[in-house]
Amino acid sequence: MIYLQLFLEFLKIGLFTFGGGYAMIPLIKEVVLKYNWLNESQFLNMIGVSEVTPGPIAINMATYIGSTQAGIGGAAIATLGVVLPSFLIMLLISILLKRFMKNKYVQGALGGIKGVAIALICSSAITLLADVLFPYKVESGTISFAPQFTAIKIFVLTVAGYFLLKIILKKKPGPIAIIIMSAIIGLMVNYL
Amino acid sequence: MKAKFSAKDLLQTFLVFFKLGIFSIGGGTTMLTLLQDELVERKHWIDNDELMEMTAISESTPGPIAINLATYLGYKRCGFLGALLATLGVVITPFVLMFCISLFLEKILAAEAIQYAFMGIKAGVVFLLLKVSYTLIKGTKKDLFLILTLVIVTIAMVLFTVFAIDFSAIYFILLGAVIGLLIYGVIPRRKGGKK
Repeated sequence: MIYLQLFLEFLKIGLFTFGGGYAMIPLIKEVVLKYNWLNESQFLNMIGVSEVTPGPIAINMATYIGSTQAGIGGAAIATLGVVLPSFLIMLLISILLKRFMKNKYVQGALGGIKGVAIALICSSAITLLADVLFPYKVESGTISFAPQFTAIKIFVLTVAGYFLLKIILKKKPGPIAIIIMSAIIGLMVNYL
Repeated sequence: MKAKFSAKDLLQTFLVFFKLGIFSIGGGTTMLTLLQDELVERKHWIDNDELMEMTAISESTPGPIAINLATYLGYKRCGFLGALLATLGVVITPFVLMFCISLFLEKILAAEAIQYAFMGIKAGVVFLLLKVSYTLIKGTKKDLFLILTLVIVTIAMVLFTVFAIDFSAIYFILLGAVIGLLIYGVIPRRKGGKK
């Protein structure tokens, strides 16, 4: 029974949220509180952990809730539920696109969304930069910033490290190298 | 159909997404920076334009963006099996890791070193996102429509986030698709017809 419940609830979440993991948070919260699977503070802890563990946040949350409710089987079935709708829908789109990719109108529409997609990435880069380095508060129409000096230090050192590695290795360090480097810098800045 | 993709291709597809699953900390956008580096810059499976088009489609279809992208790219590379393996590859590490974490979450949260490492990773991800934004803007063909879209949508989305206005990016994507269809699809054809 709990398996079926987990599967169906996460299937619903996977089917009805557009725009990725962050869009799922309110829906998951509703479900989790309805069934008493987690309380509010446990839920917030789970989101915090999901944000810093590898992989899509939706998968992290489904695995966590499934596991705490019904062990490894629950984790598997909740994850399957949340993945299945996107997998099937995207598979269908892939098959159709392969056939119609060369179509003039499809090409036009794809060209139109390209700029939007780049803009969405730029805007998340800017808002994340603000969130992490200069957290802001909006109060009665005015914005105030509270610079996080430790985070700024880590950021600057990471950028410097990137260019240093680029010169020493004579090739661009990949994103994985940057992530590992920034974790080490995070430890160093706090402990040294 | 059976002989079309070799076991090596399938294994490679799985391994690429397995690797992305390990390092995409912070969700879909981080995964995007990894995908751009691995599949566009290094392996040349797709180009920046196609990656962006697929990202926009992933944003407008249900579910996690990482899953949508893995399914599409896996299918493109190796058909249905490729889609399945890519999706499995991207899910498996987060699944195993999160399962282990769920067994003793509170203890992990309390570990100071882990918090500091993640403080570093967050700042690193900011740099990754800025870097990929720059690469994408530099690499795309810039016409007036693209520049306008870029400026308007970026500013609008930043303002919506700062002032906590609930506005889904899907509307921008749909609008972009319609305008793109008119500008790139319909109008050039008419002009061609007149000549």
